[in-house]
Amino acid sequence: MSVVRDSSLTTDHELYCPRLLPPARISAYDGLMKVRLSHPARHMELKGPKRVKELLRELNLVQEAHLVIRGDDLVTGDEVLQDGDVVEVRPVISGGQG
Amino acid sequence: MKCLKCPGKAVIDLPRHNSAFCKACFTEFVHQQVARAIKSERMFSPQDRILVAVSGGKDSLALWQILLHMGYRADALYVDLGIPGYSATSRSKVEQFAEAVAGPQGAKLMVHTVTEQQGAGIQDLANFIHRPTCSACGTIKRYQFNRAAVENKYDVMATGHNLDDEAARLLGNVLNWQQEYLDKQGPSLPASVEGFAKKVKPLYRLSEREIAAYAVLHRIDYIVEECPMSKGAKMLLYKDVLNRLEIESPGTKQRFYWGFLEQQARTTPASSSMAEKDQAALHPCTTCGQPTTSEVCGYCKMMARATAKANSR
Repeated sequence: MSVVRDSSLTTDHELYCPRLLPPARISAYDGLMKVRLSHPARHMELKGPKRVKELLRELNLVQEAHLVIRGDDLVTGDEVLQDGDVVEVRPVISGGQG
Repeated sequence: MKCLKCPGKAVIDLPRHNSAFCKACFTEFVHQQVARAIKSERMFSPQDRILVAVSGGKDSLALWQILLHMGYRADALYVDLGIPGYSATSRSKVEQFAEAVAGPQGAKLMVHTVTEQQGAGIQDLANFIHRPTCSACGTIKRYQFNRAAVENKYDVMATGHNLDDEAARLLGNVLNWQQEYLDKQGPSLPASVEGFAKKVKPLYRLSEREIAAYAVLHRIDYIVEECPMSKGAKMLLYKDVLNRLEIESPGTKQRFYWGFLEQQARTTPASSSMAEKDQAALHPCTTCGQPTTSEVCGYCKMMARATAKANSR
């Protein structure tokens, strides 16, 4: 598992806009599962296949507080994510007041 | 995983209901939960005019969409708090939704801009009066939503508070034994006195994850980023604790909050006596006329202190 953080990449769009990534970085992603996370915005590349529940467990995230979206589709906990999948792990918790 | 109700493929699993649904059946489930909340708590009728408090987040935009889909007459108010780097984004999400989804259904969006109306953004206002930003934000939003609902003669004001919000707030109130807040933690508060709008929470039967799923499935473009002011807020800690309990024992949040509501219905007096209590304790603020327990309401006190502080600089 590797985490790519780059302070020059500030928005979600920039994180996945290939034109902004140097060619060497793009080839490093080929074939792996691409996972986008928030709070803070970052992305990871992981080896598939991997169940959604497994992914969340490895990331130490609680299923009740997250949705997993593959491409444009929501997926359930038993779904198997494969190499090449573009996945977003989206937190669902919001709120302040105190 | 298969949908519990049809042969389709499930897109979301709901451990607290021991079920999983495809998009169509999940949408039906969400609409049923909202309809049940509206009916059981006598929130409003199809003839009523509703003012939805929208923030650009998933809950309020989903609520606006659901109410319009169900045929209710629902307009919305957005309060622009002037939070650098956040309010502009959330406002644009609301405006885009209003233009693309709500507008074509005959609904309108109103916007209150704090920086224009109050002369400073929420951060400066909170600093002027030495109060946490979330607390000052709550005071401003409650005041402005109520004022807009009353002045524009809406029958009821609806907020997007969900099961997680209410369970977390209940946990906070119980941990601190804030009995006076417990009395008013129901999903439907009557317009007990002149100047107070009726307030309802039609999403109280749905979890935060379920509403986020609804928003994703229906392509509602909401602001995913957390408000930068809410970092370290107690509510987030309470939600985290409850979610950890929920994982170990699905249904914990609904048992906690719904159980509280059932208990409250059995032991506390009816809303008519709550109204009598309010009528005895509340009178118009000498500055703005909104109901308050003291001579000047909390909002006017806050604004007076902020103005004095700003002028002394």
